[in-house]
Amino acid sequence: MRNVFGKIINTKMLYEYVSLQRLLFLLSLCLSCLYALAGFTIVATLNYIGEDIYGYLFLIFGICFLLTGISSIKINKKKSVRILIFSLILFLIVFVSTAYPSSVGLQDYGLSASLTYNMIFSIGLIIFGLIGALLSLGALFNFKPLGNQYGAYFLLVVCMLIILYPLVIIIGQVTINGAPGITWEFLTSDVRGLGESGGILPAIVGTLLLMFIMFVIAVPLGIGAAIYLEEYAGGHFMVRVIKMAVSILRGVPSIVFGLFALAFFVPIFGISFLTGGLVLSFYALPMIIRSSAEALKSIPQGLREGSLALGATKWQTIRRVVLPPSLPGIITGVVLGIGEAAGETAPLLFVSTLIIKMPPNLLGMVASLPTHLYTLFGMRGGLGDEVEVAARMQNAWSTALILLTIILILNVVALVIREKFRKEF
Amino acid sequence: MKKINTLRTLAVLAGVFALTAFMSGCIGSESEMVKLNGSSTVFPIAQRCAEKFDQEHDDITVEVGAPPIGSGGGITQLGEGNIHIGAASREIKQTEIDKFPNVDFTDNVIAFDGVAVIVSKDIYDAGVTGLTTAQLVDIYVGTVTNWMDVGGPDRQININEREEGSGTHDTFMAAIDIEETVANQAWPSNAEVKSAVSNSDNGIGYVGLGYVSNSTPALKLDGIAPSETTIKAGTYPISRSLHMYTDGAPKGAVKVFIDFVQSSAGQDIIADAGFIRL
Amino acid sequence: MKKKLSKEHIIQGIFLLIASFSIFIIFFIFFFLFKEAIPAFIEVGGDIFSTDFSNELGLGGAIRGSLIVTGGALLIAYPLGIGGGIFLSEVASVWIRRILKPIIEVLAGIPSVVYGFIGAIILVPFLTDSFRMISGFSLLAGGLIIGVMTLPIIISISDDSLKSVPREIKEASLALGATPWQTIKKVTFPAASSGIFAGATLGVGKALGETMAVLMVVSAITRAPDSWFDIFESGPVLTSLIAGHWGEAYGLKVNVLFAAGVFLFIIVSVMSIISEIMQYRIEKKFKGG
Repeated sequence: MRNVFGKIINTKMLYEYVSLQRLLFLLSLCLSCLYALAGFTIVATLNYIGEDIYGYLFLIFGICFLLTGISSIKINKKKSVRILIFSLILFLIVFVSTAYPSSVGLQDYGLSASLTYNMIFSIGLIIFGLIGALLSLGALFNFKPLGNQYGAYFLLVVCMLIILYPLVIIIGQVTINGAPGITWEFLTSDVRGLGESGGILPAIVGTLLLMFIMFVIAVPLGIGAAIYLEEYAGGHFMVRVIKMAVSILRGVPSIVFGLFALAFFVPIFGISFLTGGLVLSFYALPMIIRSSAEALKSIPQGLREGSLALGATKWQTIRRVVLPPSLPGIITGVVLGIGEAAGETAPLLFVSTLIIKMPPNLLGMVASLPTHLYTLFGMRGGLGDEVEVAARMQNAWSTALILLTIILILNVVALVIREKFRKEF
Repeated sequence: MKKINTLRTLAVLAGVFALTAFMSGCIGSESEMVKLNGSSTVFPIAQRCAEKFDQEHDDITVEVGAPPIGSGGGITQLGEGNIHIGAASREIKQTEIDKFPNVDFTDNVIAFDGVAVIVSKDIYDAGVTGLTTAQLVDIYVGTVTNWMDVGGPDRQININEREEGSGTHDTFMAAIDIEETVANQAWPSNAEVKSAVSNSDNGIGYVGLGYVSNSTPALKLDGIAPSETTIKAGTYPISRSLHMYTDGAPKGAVKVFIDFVQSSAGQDIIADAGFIRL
Repeated sequence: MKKKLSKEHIIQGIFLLIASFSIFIIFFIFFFLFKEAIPAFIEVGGDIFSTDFSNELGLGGAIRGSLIVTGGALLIAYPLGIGGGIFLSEVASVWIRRILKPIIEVLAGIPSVVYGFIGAIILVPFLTDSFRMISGFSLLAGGLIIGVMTLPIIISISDDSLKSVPREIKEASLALGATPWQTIKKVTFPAASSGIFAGATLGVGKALGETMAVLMVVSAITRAPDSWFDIFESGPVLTSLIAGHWGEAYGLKVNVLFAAGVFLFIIVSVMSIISEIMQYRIEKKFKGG
């Protein structure tokens, strides 16, 4: 037992490793991370900690890195000079901070904003904290490549945390603010007033109806196109053209679809559910084609050849051999495509309504969750006293929560199907 | 492996679709639809009237477009025959009449309104309770940029306006006789102007009378506060009437609805919303 | 036998028709946009690039606004997104990846109106306070929100491109004694960079075409800021100009808005085509070599 332990952590090595010097490096590292975190918290919450504290903060930071730099000279002269320069910059900041005005107007430079002392120095905390963390990590690993690696990984993790931050904010805020307003009555009653009372049933039904129209129109078209691209066409010239068209269509902005609906569908079908459903179908089409094509592509070529060799025709092969195993992949794409299109507002902007009753038929104006949310957002401060305004705001949050929930459910469904599909193969 | 007959699935789906379409057609055949869209000033009136109206008339459904597309949009959509009533907070323009020669735009005045100049509560409380028209012009053309210059606190003025072409915008600009503004933001509805002003501590904006509230107090213009009496007497400088345009004289369900809006029940809703009855 | 063959042909014909549908849609969209936009191009002429929308019906200000918002968005989305992609594909352990990947997809799935809502309710007051702006509804807010919205695309494209780098190359580098990070920096990333760049043009398209969030956090103003660099002011953006002014527009202004749509369509299509061609070349390269 002792032997094993000794092998893992050699006491001599441990002593070598945990020296005073290393503790100092570790201290700089912790301090850097702490500063970056503190700076980020201050900027994110706008809870300023008082202007005179920043000087002391940077002074401590500077001393810490001065010591780190001095003690690492023996390890690597060139790298330690960097640390020393860094600490000098920090001292410079301390010096400057004593003679700084409380805010800098950018108006003279043609910008209509001011930078407050607090803002500048909290951002400074973040930036210098991150740089400090990198430098001290390097020192901690004797400036070997491994130190660089951990530094880089540290930055990548920070990157990921910043990426996840808005997601946490959005889902957190929508849940916290939206949840109190969600009652059975909210989900099952008609819209009342300017959205401040009543529920959102017509909007929910409207969104489901739009999804249904998309399902009927976009799915056969999408899967059909994918079958042609993957199964029939081979390296045909037509394939390149169609693929190009699909990728262009994928990029067309949603508002352009709205304009197109106005110029093309509205004269035919009027301002109606049919118009909304058709334009959303077109919007969802390229996503469905793309994912279906990918699902078909993943089917091994051998299966097809086997079926053809047994005398089956091409169509029989597709129907009985290729489609069934690729169906989970196709469904995943369909669910994601329809989900994304169902969350779109811009194409429906010109055909929507704040509907009171259930949609009477497909020729009525469009009620949907995203447009309902946008209308409530627009009306949030609208007519009425504070109580009404607050009620409307509450309904807007709750609508956002319902919309987000539907989208999340679709995402989870797609994920589950895909995972199951993966296991099968 | 499960056998899935694609063709049969598609056939079933098509059947379900046809059934739904048929069913929704059935529901639709019970009630006549009246589509209304247009001015965001008229929107709350239209929406509240439609709600009340729907409770009393099972055979007619009134749909009010939201977010409202504005006076110009309402008239254009009416001209193209996509809606039955185009709500407008300004008179129809000659260019619009010329654009749709086959449409007989008929004006139905439903209410009166004044355009009130509103400011953030902070500013109002700090002493800016009225402006002269000249000061208002100075603010909107950018000669005055700080509230201090008109008797307020030392803050930059956050100018909000409606977007160009809106009935409220046109009325406002014509009344104070300027061509261009230096606004910080332009909003596609009255409600959003109100939100922007009430959520800031340095804002000014202009909205229909119904949107004035405690959080966005209205200023006196040249010493006259916007109210029913001053607007009806014509002493308040910025006033207008609100319209519901139809193609030809209203008939059928459209007539029933417009009659309802103009009836005392409808006018009560309008007065309740802060606008001025006929 | 002959009958069966002809049936096969009919089926193939039907599928060709269905597949060509996308081409028809593209054609239709372009045709109808262009048809409505032609009067604007003829009557407004060269003034269409002027920054004065109210009087001269110029779209210059909106094009500038679009460039500023898109540029700002990409400044945020590219470094973070590529960093996130490297983390996901090269650094994260299998189970972290399995958790993060769907979360990123969720981020991509959040509707733009929700982003706009949160942006206007939370981000805008935050910006007003932190930069002491006259009002937080500004191009800066638009850039930030669009940046966050573009992130998932950049992440998944970087992830895919890095994953598609052949394993042998990485292993060769590691076998030569390079650390994993040196391998990423000197071998994997350069090999994947053309793929990342090709895909990232799609991010540009997405950022340019985003409407609702811009409309909600920038407002529908037509007056462009005096200075190019004044991101702290509100200004017109192609998408929000269309969405916010459609309702009140009449006469030639409608055609000008369609012209804005044509500009958007053309820019985004060119981006898509560039990306498609580059990806095709990369595929060919990897297959060939």
